[in-house]
Amino acid sequence: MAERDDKEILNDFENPSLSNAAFNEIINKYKVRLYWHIRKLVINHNDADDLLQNTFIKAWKGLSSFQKESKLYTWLYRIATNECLTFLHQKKKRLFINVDDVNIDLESDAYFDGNKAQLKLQQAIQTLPVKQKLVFNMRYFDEMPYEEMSKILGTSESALKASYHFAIKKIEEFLKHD
Amino acid sequence: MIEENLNKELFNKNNPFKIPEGYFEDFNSNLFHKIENESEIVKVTFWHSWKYKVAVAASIAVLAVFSFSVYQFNYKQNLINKNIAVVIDNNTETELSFFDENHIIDEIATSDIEQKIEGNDIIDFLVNENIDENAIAEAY
Repeated sequence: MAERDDKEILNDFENPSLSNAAFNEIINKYKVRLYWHIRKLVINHNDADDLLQNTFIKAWKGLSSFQKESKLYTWLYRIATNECLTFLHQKKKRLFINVDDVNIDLESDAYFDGNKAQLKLQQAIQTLPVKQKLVFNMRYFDEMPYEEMSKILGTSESALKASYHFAIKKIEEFLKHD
Repeated sequence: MIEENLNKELFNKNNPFKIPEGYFEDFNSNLFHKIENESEIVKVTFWHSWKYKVAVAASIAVLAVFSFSVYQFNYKQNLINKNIAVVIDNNTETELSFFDENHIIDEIATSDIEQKIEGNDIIDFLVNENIDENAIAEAY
């Protein structure tokens, strides 16, 4: 079945008898993309699962007041990103470590199946400050245009370009010395 | 450039992460289950919400104001009672101080106290005090 336009789905959501079905459609449409966006930031599957569920729960609660002028996808992406940033900051406080020093042991992760090069790249990404990591993932893996990233992150396109540039440089440095 | 390398053979963009089998298939039902549970939890935890806290705070405030009013009322009442007692005491003292000492002596001298003293009592008193009977007889 072809995916329906967001506006059509949102119109259905306003009808109480169709809201559950409409929301189910929204989940089906965006869950995979949002999951991978979250997963690449927090790495652990269980954390990503919790955060994805929280993202959709917040969307469910806030969808009735959602401004239709905005893109649904951008709005959901923003919720997911904020959930991740909050989670990473809480983790930092809980573990008494810097949020950018959260070192994830990918080698022992049952849900990591990358080769050596991919492992190295992921380790390099983990050394980045959390916002650079976010920009790098969105640009490099999701190939998102800067204009859309700017709407989601509320940052100017030039600042995002600079952030991506610094992220690339740092990854390069990491790979040179490792 | 590293970006070129990243896009080439060394760092392909294939996803190195895995997910548990059937994860996305079960996701929707798990999520709706969680949403339903959360609605129930919200109902249960209503009494722990800010409304409940405000209600408790208001009750405590009302209780405090009421207790303070009762305390104030009792305090004032005690103060009034004490003042009345002081006035009564003062009145008694006034009555006693009203009599002159000479008046009291005259009153005792002219009263019938002497008549109530028996003859034997006088003899017992004299014996106890070791007073000479002849000296008394001479005096009279």
